Amino acid sequence: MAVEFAIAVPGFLVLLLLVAAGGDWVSSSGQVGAAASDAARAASLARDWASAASDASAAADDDLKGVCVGGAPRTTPAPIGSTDFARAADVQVTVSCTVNLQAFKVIGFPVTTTFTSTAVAPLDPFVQRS
Amino acid sequence: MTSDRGSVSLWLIIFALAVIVLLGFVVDGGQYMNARERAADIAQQAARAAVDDLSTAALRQGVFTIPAGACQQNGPAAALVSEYAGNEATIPAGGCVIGGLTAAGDCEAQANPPPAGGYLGPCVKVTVDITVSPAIPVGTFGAFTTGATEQATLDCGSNVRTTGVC
Repeated sequence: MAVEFAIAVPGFLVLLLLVAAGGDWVSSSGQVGAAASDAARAASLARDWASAASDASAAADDDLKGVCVGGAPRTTPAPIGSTDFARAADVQVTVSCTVNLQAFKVIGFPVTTTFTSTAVAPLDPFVQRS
Repeated sequence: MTSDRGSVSLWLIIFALAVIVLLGFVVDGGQYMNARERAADIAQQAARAAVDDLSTAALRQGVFTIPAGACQQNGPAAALVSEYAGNEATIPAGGCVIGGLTAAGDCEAQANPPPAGGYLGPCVKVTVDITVSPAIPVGTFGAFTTGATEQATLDCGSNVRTTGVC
């Protein structure tokens, strides 16, 4: 029986690893979602489009420090309601981040997943923007 | 010796079933928490959008009022929620309330007469529901709906929160 167990041990470990990987997956998807909403809020406070884009990237980079494979996440802002940021009603930010699932990295078998999350924040209509 | 043979396979099967249930709890429970957080964020932004929809005509008289349209179907709060990708988020019926901020910090539909001490300023309270299809649909974790309620208040720049007049 001991020999049988010895043979089955890798099987048990792989199953446990699956739970760890699942936890990792959920936690990363939550982090990317939170980063998207922070980025959208940061972009909505900016006075011009160039700084809206850079503020959004900065907020997302800050939230996802060390999470994404290959450094920073990809942050794409877009005005909604008008293509002109000065007249738009809301600003939408999409954050995309490729994550290396740690549980698989441990056994030298990298699994990467890309998470994408979108968030929208309103623009204050009583603020002058360009 | 022969009577023990193959008993580890049984162990492995039982263990695998236990792990699948555990995985369901970890992943679906995590998705539930993520969904709550997301609902709270969407509700915050929707409340902010609604509270910004000030009546400019009243504003010229120095009065801050949020028109009823801020909470309606084609209003800014509903528009913002619909802009979220996937449209998994909705504002339920009666989920958007324009009211007054009480001394306790709650946003309530304005009562007539107002409570002692009056209201501290106009505010909007928005509830957002999110439906999630879990990655591992085990047992009770079929598609579930969760939500959050958040509020936003108008604040005067310098002359802070009097009776809706700055």
